[in-house]
Amino acid sequence: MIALHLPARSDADAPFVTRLAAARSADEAESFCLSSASGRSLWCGMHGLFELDHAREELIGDILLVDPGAGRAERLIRAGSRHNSLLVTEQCDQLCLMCSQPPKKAHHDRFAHFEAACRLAASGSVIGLTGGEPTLHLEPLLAMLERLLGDRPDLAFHILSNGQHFDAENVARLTGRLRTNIVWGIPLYAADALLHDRIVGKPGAFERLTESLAHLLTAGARIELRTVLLRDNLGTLGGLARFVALYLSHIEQWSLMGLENIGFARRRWDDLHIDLRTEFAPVAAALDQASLHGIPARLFNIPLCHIPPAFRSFAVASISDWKQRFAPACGRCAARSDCAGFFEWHPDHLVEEVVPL
Amino acid sequence: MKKRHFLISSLVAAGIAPLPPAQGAPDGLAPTSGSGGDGDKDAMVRKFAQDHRIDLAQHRSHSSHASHSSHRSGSSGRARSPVYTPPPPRKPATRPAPTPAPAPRNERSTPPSSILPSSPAIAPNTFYSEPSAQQIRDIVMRVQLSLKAYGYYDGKIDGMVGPQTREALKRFQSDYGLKVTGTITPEVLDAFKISA
Repeated sequence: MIALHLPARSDADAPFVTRLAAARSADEAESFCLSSASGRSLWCGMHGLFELDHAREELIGDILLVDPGAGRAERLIRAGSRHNSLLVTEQCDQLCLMCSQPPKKAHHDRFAHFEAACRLAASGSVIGLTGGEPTLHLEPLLAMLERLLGDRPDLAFHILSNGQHFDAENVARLTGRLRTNIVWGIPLYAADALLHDRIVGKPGAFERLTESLAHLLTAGARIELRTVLLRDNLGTLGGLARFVALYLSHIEQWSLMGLENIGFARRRWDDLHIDLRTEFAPVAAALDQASLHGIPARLFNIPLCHIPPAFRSFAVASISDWKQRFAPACGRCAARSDCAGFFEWHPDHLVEEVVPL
Repeated sequence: MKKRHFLISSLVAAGIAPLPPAQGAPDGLAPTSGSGGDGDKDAMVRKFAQDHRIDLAQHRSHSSHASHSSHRSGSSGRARSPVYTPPPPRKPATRPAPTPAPAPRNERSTPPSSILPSSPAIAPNTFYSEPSAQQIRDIVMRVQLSLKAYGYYDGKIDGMVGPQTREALKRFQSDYGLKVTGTITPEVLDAFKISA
């Protein structure tokens, strides 16, 4: 697992964002390495001096938020990673059965740091924004995106949202780069309102979601629908596929996702988890239905060897680098580089059950 | 539009864009090996002490250097050749009379001879040789020493950047035309000729 938070010591008196550089440069936003030894590295820049409990090599090019008070640094944007995402808030107005990151009440506004970090990102970066529910803070979020995309039209954002807060007024701001350079990843678990509401733990969520989707699709926003595969909705996937084809055919992608064994899902694993090696049929039917209607569907978070060969082309190596792991037997698998693998926290006994391809 | 293009290309030039993989990064700064650490430190102490001989000479007439005189009070510096004649203590009230101070206090009030113009060979390097688990402390202490030598700092050499060190840094940065941050910037390290 790749460490995203590093113990750190700094002489600064306030948190700051900086990019780590191999050599000294004239760029005031950069810090360069003074020395590195035995798992520690010492850096210096215009924000001051700081030491990280991590060797220098893997950090070059990373964009860090150094928090002297907390004694840690957060690798906001890691160089060369395709899986950088910024945690906008831990608040959420839904309470999903399988929530991987259960919500908290407090919100710490870090938009200024995120904006600084995005401005330092490599050209063409795709940056994830996640939560909690980012659109609980939609006004500052959109304002940040407007400023950033105004100055950095090369950047693109993937924003995870429960789709409970879009209306005609705020969607009207999704024009220009805010329309073309943002993909909204929005969960929809069932075509049945009651079932969806039960899964997300919020009465009326389905209705509010479809309203948001209507606004977003009218505005031409790019939408990725996300459906986590659960014991609860497995039997209704066919209906969901027809619903998506009928009403939401303009989405950019429909992602069917394997369950993540963390957060709430951890203690409900046995109730929620489905073994796709034996129960793939409903998923296959949904994928066929989507294909038939030209809906680009994808399978996330499922190792290739758990998917019937005919459906492996739907699979995406989707698990973020920092939380991805493989079984020892995966070492001799020819398809490993194309495979999602497992989540770091996937139950150990299940990780063992792989068939090298 | 033109402006945007320029901005992007200058960002690219600044190294934001396509970075080589971490492994391929140039090894500009070879990490110091664990075993070689002590030898390097000695070299640094010598270099540092020599720098100070010059700096202190320049600062002789500086009125703000009353504090320096008191450094010698507890040290054995007097016995050596009088390279540096301290002006009479200005604030005798703030410090105890120059009697042989007990050991603990003396260690705290620090580097008597190492910052004074004495031979590098005599300069005690116990101050540096104490194994410091944290590199950052080491550098901060050296910066505090330098600030003290330049007359900007009169606090403890404790390797911790507190309000007093921050204030000293700000005044130093301001006086020397550096960007005023109150932190240890590359410019500050340059000015004090400190490297890790």
